Amino acid sequence: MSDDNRLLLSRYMDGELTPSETEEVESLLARSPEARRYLESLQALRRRIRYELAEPGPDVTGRVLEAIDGVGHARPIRSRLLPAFAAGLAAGVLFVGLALERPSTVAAADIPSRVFEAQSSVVALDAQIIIVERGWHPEVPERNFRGRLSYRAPESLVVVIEDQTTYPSTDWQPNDSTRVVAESMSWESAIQGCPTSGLPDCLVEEPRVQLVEGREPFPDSLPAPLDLIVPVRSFAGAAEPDPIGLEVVNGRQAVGVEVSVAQAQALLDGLTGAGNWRDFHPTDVVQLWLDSEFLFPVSLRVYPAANEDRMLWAARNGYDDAVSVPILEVDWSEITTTGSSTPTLPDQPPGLVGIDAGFEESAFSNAVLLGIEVPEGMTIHRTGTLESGGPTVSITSWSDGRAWLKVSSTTTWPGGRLFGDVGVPARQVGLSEGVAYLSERGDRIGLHSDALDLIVTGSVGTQTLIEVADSLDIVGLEIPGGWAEASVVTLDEARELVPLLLQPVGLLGFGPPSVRAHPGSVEFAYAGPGNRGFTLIQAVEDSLAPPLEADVTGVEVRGLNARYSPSRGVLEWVEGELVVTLQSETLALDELVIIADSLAMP
Amino acid sequence: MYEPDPDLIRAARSGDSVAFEVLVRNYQAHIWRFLRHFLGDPELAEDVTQETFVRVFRRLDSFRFRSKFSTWVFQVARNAGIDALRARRRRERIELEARRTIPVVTADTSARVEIEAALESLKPKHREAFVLVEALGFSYREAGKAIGIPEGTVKSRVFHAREQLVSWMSVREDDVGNV
Repeated sequence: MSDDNRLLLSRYMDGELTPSETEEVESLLARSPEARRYLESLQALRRRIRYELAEPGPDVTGRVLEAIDGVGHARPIRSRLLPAFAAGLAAGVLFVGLALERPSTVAAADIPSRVFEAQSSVVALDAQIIIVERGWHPEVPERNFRGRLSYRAPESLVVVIEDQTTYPSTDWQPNDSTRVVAESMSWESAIQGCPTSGLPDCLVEEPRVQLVEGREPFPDSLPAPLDLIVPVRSFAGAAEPDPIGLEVVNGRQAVGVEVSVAQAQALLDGLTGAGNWRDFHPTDVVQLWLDSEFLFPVSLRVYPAANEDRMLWAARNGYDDAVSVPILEVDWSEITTTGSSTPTLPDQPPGLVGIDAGFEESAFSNAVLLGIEVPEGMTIHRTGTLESGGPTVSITSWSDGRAWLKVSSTTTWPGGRLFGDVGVPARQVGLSEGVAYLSERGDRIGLHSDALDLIVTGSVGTQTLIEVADSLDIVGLEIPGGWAEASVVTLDEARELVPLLLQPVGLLGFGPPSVRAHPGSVEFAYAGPGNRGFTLIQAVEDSLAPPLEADVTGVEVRGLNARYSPSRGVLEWVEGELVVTLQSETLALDELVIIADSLAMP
Repeated sequence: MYEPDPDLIRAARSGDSVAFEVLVRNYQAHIWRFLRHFLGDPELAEDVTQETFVRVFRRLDSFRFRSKFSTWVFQVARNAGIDALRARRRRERIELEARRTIPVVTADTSARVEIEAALESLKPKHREAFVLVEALGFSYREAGKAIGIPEGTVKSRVFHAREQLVSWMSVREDDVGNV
């Protein structure tokens, strides 16, 4: 092959050809095996260079800052940009809840433990909401909304959001939405979401309106967005969040913390779950101010994270966000907590035909629950029977303010998996008598017996759920081998399969893992607050499979070469006789590297 | 390559040390990697990486937003690297002409050591352009600006570096295959 053709192929790989030269190269590749081999060798060289030379390098930040301080130019000022920048430190990492060790800060440190207690204190909440959203679409760079929120414990909630944006033309539909939950009834009116690239043509003129009647207490589907009232899911089991401060915000004494979007997802869903809103990356930074007494939100800002995963995601999704500008601002004002017992409901759209979800209220009569011990202060909320096409389910719920607890049971469960969507992976826990199975997030616990299958769920914390399950007059059995959750093993059983098993040591902000065994490998699933979580897989193999993605890069972890795929959130490497894989859709690479570095044989 | 928001650069220029820290953290690994191959000495590269950012801080006022910030930072890094090489020449009177022979694969079979040795075998001017384009993902135009040479020269230097390294890879694979 001529020098000219090899040079052409070299430039082709760099994307530096004109269209006509590209055609010429592609024709050459089609007819010449030698050209194809040469290009393959260039590609192999690139892979080696990018994979094997991708070392993190030394951290000179401290020395540089010290040096420039000596120069006398740096002023340690906190600009309005500071919070986002600070969140982007360490190459865009948000180490929220991942601290291995750090000193306590009183107000922020209390939130994860206080959030359970605080929810019981909130029986009513009314507020006006002001929302500014940026970056939704290039032709509409900023949208403005006003709304109102009205909540009465335990599950009556109205969220009305009115779009006040001036759009370029009438092709654009205002993003008005109404969500109403009034115990057994709920309805929602909102335009349907559609991708940024399809706007405005994909917008449907008429909002979708959905009415549900016969709604069971605290359902998994179409739940009331209670994290909007007190963000229990965002902080339950969390490590100490990064503190911002303690000051008066929107008229309330508030504590400010920084968390990730993944952690605050349930709260954000309460605001943007209905209608057409922009997306956020799981590592984006949420600056959240919570009322220091009741822990309801009073202000939040979402800033784009500055890590490479996020940049790649933004490019894929057509977002051009500046790291210094909040992409969502929400402020609560005119907040009161002493509203009347009945919230003011907006008028239902006329002619609305509801879907019957199948729950019929009846008096408490479930003999299995006679001896149940629920947390002090909780009283029975709604009880009855659910007939929704599957087995008949008996449901009893308790509440105390915004806090709630629910027990669902059936005598006709067909098996194959645990009743109540415990999910896989699950974690087996021992009770005073028998065993139960805890969901990955620790927010539901299932029991299986010969006569009855039962699930306990609630907003009260994992340990309380276990204690409630333990108080029931039912002995949980181990599930049959063929059920979906049967791959769950204990840590000792896992070590028999893979003797030199590694586990994170000193990791805060994640509960105990669920452990599953597969032929030749063991999988740990760790769940943190909100949607944060990761899996750790260790397989007895001596080499990595060839990468499937084009975006794989090299990273050094534990003094070893690892590879990272941003599109799959997978960090993997070979260590001893194991292939170790860390995978997460909600943690950035730098957080995975910290977890990797903490791995040891306990 | 990371491109900071202009407001971040302006904040750093006005003395916001936190904003400047973000810049350092986002570029330091890339700068160190470039300097490591430019200088052939990881420890010296670390010192020059630090010096680069001190110079960047002092000269932020001169950045006019007409080019990419990343290109400008690499120009500063390269100049700092050249100064370091000159100082080392004076100090050690070492001939810096690159070793041009294909390296012999030693008992150390670490893949990284091998590829680094192969890079060391390149002429410095070829290696510099190659590292910017191949390892750091610069376009020919950006690399040309960072080094101060025409795009066409980048193209040919990258090509020559590739020719040598592809040849090295095939020799090595043959050697391994014959073991």
